[in-house]
Formats: sequence, C-alpha cells, structure tokens
Amino acid sequence: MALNSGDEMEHDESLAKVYRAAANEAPPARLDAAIRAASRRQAGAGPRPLSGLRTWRVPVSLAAMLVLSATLVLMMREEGADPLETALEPAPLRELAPGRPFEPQARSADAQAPLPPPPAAQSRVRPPAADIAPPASLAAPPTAQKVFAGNAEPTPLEAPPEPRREVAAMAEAARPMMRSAPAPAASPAAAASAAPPLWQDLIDQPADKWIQRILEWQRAGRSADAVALVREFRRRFPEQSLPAEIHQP
Amino acid sequence: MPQDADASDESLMLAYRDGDAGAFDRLYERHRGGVYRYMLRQCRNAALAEELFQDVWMNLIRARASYEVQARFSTYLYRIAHNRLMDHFRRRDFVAMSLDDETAAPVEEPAALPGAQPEIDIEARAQAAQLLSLLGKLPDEQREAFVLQQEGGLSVEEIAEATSVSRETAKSRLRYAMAKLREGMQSWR
Repeated sequence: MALNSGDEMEHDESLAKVYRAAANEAPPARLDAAIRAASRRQAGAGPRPLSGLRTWRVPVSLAAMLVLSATLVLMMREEGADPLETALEPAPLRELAPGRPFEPQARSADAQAPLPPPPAAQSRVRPPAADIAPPASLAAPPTAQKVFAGNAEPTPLEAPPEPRREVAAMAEAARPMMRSAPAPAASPAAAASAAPPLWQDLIDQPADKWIQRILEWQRAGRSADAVALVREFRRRFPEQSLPAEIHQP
Repeated sequence: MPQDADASDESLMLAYRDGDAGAFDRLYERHRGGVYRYMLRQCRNAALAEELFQDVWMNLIRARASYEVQARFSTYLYRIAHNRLMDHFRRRDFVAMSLDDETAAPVEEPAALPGAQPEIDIEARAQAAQLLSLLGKLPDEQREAFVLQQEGGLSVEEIAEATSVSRETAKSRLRYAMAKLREGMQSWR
C-alpha cells in the first residue's frame, strides 16, 4: 500500500469498512423519544416571527453597504479635489518652471479640473518653454494621491514573528473565520481583516469568557469590535444564546 | 412545508427552524448514531455519553431560531458536540485534551461490540474489536479526528472547523491516527 499519497494517509477505505462493521452502537429508545418530544415542543411554539426579516436581511445589508460605500467615495473625492482647485487658481503662468516635463497622471487624479485649452489658445498666453509645466502642487496632490493609493492597493501586512506551537495553532484556527468575515474588496476594512483577530486570546476560552469580553467592549463603547465578536461567538458557539443586555447585530 | 426524502441536512434544519417538526425527525434519524458514537468514543462511558448526547440535541433544538447555513450541517452539529464535550472536560478539570498528541494519557479500552450483527463472522468481529481497541488507545485528539471523519463524514477542513484547530493540525491528527490504526491492523491485511 502506498502510504506516501496525502489522500491515502488521511483516508483508508479498508479501515473505514472495518470501522463501519464495528460501529453499530445506537442511543437508547428512551433518549430518542425524549429528544423528539422536545423538538416537537419547540416546533409547536409556532413559526418564527423574524423569518420574513431574515429573508430580507442579506439584500438589505448589501444595499446599505453599497450606498454607504458610494457616499464615502464621493465624500473622499470631494475632499481630495479641493486642494487641487485651490492650487490651480493662484498659480500664475510666469511661476511655472521652464522645461519641466508634464505629468499626465497628475491630471487624471482630479476629474473636476478644467480641461486644458486648445493648443492655439495656449500659445497665446504661455511662453513656448513653459506651456507644459504644471504647478508643483498639481503634480503631487497629497490628499487625492493618498485616497487613490489606498483604493488601489491595500497596505501590505507585516510578517508576524515566529509564534510558539500552541499560539501558531490558535492563530491558524482563526484564519477561516477571517476569510469568512464579509468585507468589501480593496478597502481599508479588507486590510484590517487580515490583521490578527480581535479574539486571538479567546480562541481556546469557553463561551462565558467571550460573553464577558463582549459586555466589556460594549460598555467601553467599542461597538464595532463588540459586533464582530458577537458574530464570531455565534459561529463558534452556535448552541449558546447571548444575554439580553448584549446588543446583537 | 414537507421535505422530500433527498432533502439536504441544511434544508431540513432550515425547515425545522421555521416550524417543521418532521424535518427534525429526519435530521435526527440521519445523525443520531454518529453523534452518539462520537460521544461514546470520546468519553468512553455509556451513561455519560448518553447525557452529553442528549445535551447536544437539546442545544441544537434551542439554537434553531438562530440557525443560518454557514457550513455543512454535519460540521455545525459536530461543532456543537465538540463544544459540549469540551465544556464537560473543563467543568471536571479534566485535562483530556492535551496540546501534545504524543503525551496524552492512555485511555481505557472501549467496550466490546454491543449488539453486533449476527451475520458478521467471527473473524470480522475479531477484526472490528481489534480496531475499536486500537481506537481506544489513540490520544483523544487523534481519535476525535478519526471518528469525525468516519461518523460525520467530515473532511480535514471540516474537522478543523468543528474542533477549532488549523487545517494542518487536523490533518496531522488524522494522519497519526490512520498510521497507528494501520500499523495495529497490519496482521489482518
């Protein structure tokens, strides 16, 4: 038998067959009856009133996220445009550095800047050597560049230090959660989601510790962190209910 | 709404969440044996296994209102089972889940095959008993990985998810378990 194959090292049909033949224990009938009766009692409580809301929760959340993102982008664009416009106004043509090469990408940073006049008009107002030099502030608009750079590529993450074996295992355990956490692509939130999880020190803790931490964060006003922790709590402890004083997303 | 016979576990659980008691019966029928044996293998005490088994299903019933499909139902169910087992060990200050697979305390052998099917011949029964005996001697984490694979049909990723460990850790546990069981069953091959 080839033991080098990864699949065979994790699965063995002959062992599975022997195990299936051996594993035939079953719960006693009285337990079956008790559990089924309990399930019927719960189901008899009637359909959940929130089921309609649940159906709409995802699309409504997505729509809200889109509206918020669009608003945020528009606001950032407006903020980024102001310094450019003010920089353009006071820059007289005679102050332009002669022979300085034109930087077309600087113009593309501001869609609201006026279009350049036709070449014939330019030749009437500028000396030939200076007609291609933009103002220094236009070549490097600080706010706009920062915003667009942030949108184009997230901040690279620092390599974490070499963890101990247990800590590394805990960090590994947290990764699927971070992958499953919804975050808009190419946004600061996406970069933040790759950071160590907020619940790193809770990974091996029982549910009551998580609840305690959620309450602490809520009291401290860390609402967003508390909401993230509630989501992770629900994923990790699906059988646990949260106390009423915890604000649930 | 009644579910057809091939309905997925997830759709049955969603139906139960929305008030269909019959959907729960179907789910329970599918998974009762697996969850019970998971508990039996991990705590090796029939009375305790029954208690924990009942808790798992009661927890599932209580949590039905907040159920959403985020993973395969088996992964969800065995995560609840794993959490219940961990709670039990914690409450009893039971250090059964050592971080080091190789230094786990030895465990007692499992009970012999109760209610084995009569058509299984003597050799097959002996083989099965040998496997269960070997399984009982595995460290808890390795045994858990093997049982989750066999009883829950969980993949390595799902075992990792259900037991809150990394994929690599789950894979390593499963490989150790397989290697030891294979070695112990060598004479039967």
